[in-house]
Amino acid sequence: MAISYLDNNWKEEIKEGLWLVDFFSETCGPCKILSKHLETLDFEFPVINIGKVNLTKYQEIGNELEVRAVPTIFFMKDGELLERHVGLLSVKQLKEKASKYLYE
Amino acid sequence: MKSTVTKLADFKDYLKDFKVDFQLDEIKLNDEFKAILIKNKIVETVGKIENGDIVTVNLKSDYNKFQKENLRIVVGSQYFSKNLEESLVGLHLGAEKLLKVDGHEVNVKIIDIKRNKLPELSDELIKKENIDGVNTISDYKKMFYQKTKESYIMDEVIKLSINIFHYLQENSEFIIYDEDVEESLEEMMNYYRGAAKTAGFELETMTSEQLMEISNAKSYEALITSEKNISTSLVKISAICAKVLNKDIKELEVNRNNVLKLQIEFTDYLKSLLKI
Repeated sequence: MAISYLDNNWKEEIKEGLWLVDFFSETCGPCKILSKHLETLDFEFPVINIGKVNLTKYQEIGNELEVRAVPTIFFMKDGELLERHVGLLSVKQLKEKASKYLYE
Repeated sequence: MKSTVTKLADFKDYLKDFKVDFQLDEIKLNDEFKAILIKNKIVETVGKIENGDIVTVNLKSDYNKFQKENLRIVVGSQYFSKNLEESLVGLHLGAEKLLKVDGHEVNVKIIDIKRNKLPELSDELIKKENIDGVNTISDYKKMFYQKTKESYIMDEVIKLSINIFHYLQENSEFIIYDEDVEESLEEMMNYYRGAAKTAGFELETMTSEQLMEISNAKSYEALITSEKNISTSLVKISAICAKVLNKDIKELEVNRNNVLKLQIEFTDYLKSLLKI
């Protein structure tokens, strides 16, 4: 499963299946670390779709979702929000959350 | 700020003893290379399941957990079912088999088997990283060496400047004006008043427990004493920086931001003295 870069049409893109959406900004250090963790997740445990939304480029999405800090991670199933997490997650935590929403 | 240093202690010995003992961190470099390889992974469809493969299966069973269609499992990850994943190893693409898993009969059909592989590190992959002037593995190593060395030196110079500030505060002579200390203290107490208000309290009447939530002090009086000591130290550091950098700071307000700016200038000055 490749990592997709999403734009203003992001809701349409993720309306089917299980998705992890990473809302990030270009200047945030922890976002860069999370980005590496997501690459590792996609290599070692590719069971969840991963989307990234650049809030530096699409500020209006951040305003609409009231994202106050980055990175903010949404876990979504068929377009419905399952969990909203603010801050970094380790690869192990990402795997645990992905498997929880996929298998339980 | 009116406070000044009347006699600055000699700190040249600290500069003489400074050594840069930097070594390339091969583990970190390899981690960076691995991250590049992961980004460029190769996905293959294979015919027989091995541990680590990403398998799509249809499961049929009376037990709900094993009644799934198009389920993706990373074999051996143990996130779905350790026993089921172990039973999948060796099965072929398209195979259908009745398995006994955790006391349940499960009919398994293998729909897809994917295997992720890392490519060989090459100049081509390095070029894809789009880093200015970095086109080969060798360029990347040089860039990484330079970047980590600069960061190491900066950390060491900051440590050195902290030691020098400590030494100069203890061994120099100062004229310290109360109003400078009060100015810095006021800024800090305003910060704590704000933090207390956000927590729904008045700073002056907070209990020990409440105060410990927003500071390290157990009482209002202890907080003032501790912040006064810090403020005196900030005034001394500002005076030291002004003396060493030959700066006029008479108009400067004593606050943490201004002191930090002076400390950065001081650190840059140290770096220039050390010729690194």
